[in-house]
Amino acid sequence: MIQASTPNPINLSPRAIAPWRFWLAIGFQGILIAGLALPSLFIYLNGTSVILQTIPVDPYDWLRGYSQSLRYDISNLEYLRQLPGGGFLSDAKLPPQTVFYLILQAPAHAIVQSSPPPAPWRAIAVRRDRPPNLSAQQVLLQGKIVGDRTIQYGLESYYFPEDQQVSMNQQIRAVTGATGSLRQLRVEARVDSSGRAIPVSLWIGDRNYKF
Amino acid sequence: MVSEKFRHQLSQEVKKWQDEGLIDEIQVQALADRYQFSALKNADNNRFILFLMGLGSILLGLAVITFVAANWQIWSKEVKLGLLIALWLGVNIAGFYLERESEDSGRSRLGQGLLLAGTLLLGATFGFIAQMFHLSGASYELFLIWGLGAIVMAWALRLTSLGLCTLILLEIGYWGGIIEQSFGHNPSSSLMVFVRHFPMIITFLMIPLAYSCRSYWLFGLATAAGILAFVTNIGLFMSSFLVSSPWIASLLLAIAIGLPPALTWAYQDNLWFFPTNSLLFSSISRKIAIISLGASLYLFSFHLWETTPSFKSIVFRAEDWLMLGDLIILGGITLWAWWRLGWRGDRNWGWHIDRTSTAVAGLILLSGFLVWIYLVVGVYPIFITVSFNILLSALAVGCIRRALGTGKRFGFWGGIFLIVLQLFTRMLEYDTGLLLKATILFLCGVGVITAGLWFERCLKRLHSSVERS
Repeated sequence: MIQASTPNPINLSPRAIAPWRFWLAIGFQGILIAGLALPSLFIYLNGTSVILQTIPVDPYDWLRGYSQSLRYDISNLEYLRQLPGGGFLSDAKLPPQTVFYLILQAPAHAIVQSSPPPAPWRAIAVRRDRPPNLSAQQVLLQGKIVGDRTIQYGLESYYFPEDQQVSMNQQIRAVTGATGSLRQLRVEARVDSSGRAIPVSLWIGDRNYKF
Repeated sequence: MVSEKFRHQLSQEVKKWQDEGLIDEIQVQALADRYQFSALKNADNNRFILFLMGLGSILLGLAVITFVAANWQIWSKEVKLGLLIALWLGVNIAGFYLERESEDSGRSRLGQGLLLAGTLLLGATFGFIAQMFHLSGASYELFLIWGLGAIVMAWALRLTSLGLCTLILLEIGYWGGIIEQSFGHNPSSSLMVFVRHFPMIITFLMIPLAYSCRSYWLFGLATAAGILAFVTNIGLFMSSFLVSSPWIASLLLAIAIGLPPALTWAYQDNLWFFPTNSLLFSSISRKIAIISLGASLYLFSFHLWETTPSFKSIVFRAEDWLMLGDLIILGGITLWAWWRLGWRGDRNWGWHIDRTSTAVAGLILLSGFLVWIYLVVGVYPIFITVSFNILLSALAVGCIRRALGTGKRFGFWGGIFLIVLQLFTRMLEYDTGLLLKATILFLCGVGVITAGLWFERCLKRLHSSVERS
């Protein structure tokens, strides 16, 4: 027989979660958010602006929206090999993830003053190690060789609003139609002293897009 | 923990006992109080509301993510970032404090929904930051970071909904990483370490989380995800050996197909050192073992052995060796699980496993052995194909035979499904005439119907003999 003494209810929901567990998790998520944002913010605030010649194509990403995928003259391994100091890039046994440094030279003063788009900076040398001294007119850009022949500078995507897609593409067509080349497409990037870079704005002909 | 199903059955039984006069009103009340029968009535209703809350929260979260992707320019970046962070914090905090309220009130369920939305908002914030600074990394990296953020919250709050959400995010991140590694431009990012050791993340973070949340679903899905990741990782790892050393490659292939069913078959809840609250995940684990064994036997029963798989020799990196560490850890756990499975301290022999476990172990070892002798010794391919077909049939017959003893439908229909699948596949694989195809289809149909009727009769007989005794 079952004893009908004082019933002792079974614990159906043993979920006594202490608040510190929640706050610890929120703190961790906050650190992740900061960890993603702060390095780029630092470059944005402290970096030097440079202009680079570019070639765009447009894909879509579910989290980040529409973007232009960008390639540069300096994304071409052959181009880099011909620069002073670029000989080591011909080495077949280059380890994956090889980091190198590109020295960019600012355009001559007169060209900077001319009408938009601003004149692009020119790559003048490649270095395997970070050079200690640069002139005031020079900036260091850090690149990485990934995969077989792909080079990344962290400047490969430029995200833009959905409603600008058509007008940007028209502008690109208009610019390339007029000159017959892609030379009128430029990216303004910000580069910090260690050579890390983020894209800031896009020049299509004389129009500047900044999102 | 007492399951809801048990409480449901008990409440019905108690009603019968009361009608039959076995127990009186006071005892009925005592049982009703102890097992909280009154809460049962609301359980179905609650689950439906929880489902709706979850669905609504997911849609809200997706709305924010899509808004971020739209890259709307009317608000400045600072305003958007501030709003997103405030929303992420606010929704999480509101969710947490509402969720703590009593389960009877609707607020607790609303809280759970908000916490799920909070996890999606974390992803929206990551997406926005990446968009704001035009970060050009692959999207799988964002999903992995998002999954890491979510897993910590799921662990902290022990919520199944967050656990499942985390698993989905990590899976997207993992498979994105695998695709990137195989076909993409950026195969070696620092987050690749999570992809490479994904089975470890599943084993040591997701499986204990399933215990913590008391969720069968989470356990089953996480185990399946872990097995797929393990086989994929070892497969990719193996491909770098195949050209240079078939001996090691065959050993790795044998381990890749043998270890998952071996581990899941011998798996017991008490393998963990933490108290598992008498939950019985072992039975799901055994079902997964049979499914994974069936899947690998089925895959190898195809006539594919004449063409030696020719993987391209990839550049072998030092970090790949770390993957061997995963293999050693999981292999060690498997051996430990089998030792625990058979250990009978009170017997003379000490270690002894039952007939079913012996049969499963035999099938696993034989399939591994076949792979090994094919790649190393190079026996006739037809012998390997026929052998795998025999093993697959043996597994199917074994499932049916065992189901007849225990009266469990899963094993019986699983076995029938395997036999029919095997017949069908062989029929389509080999160039058979239409007349033969018709005969096989006819025999399969008649066979399945007869087997089903016969099994149900056996089941009835089994139940009546149990009741008589």
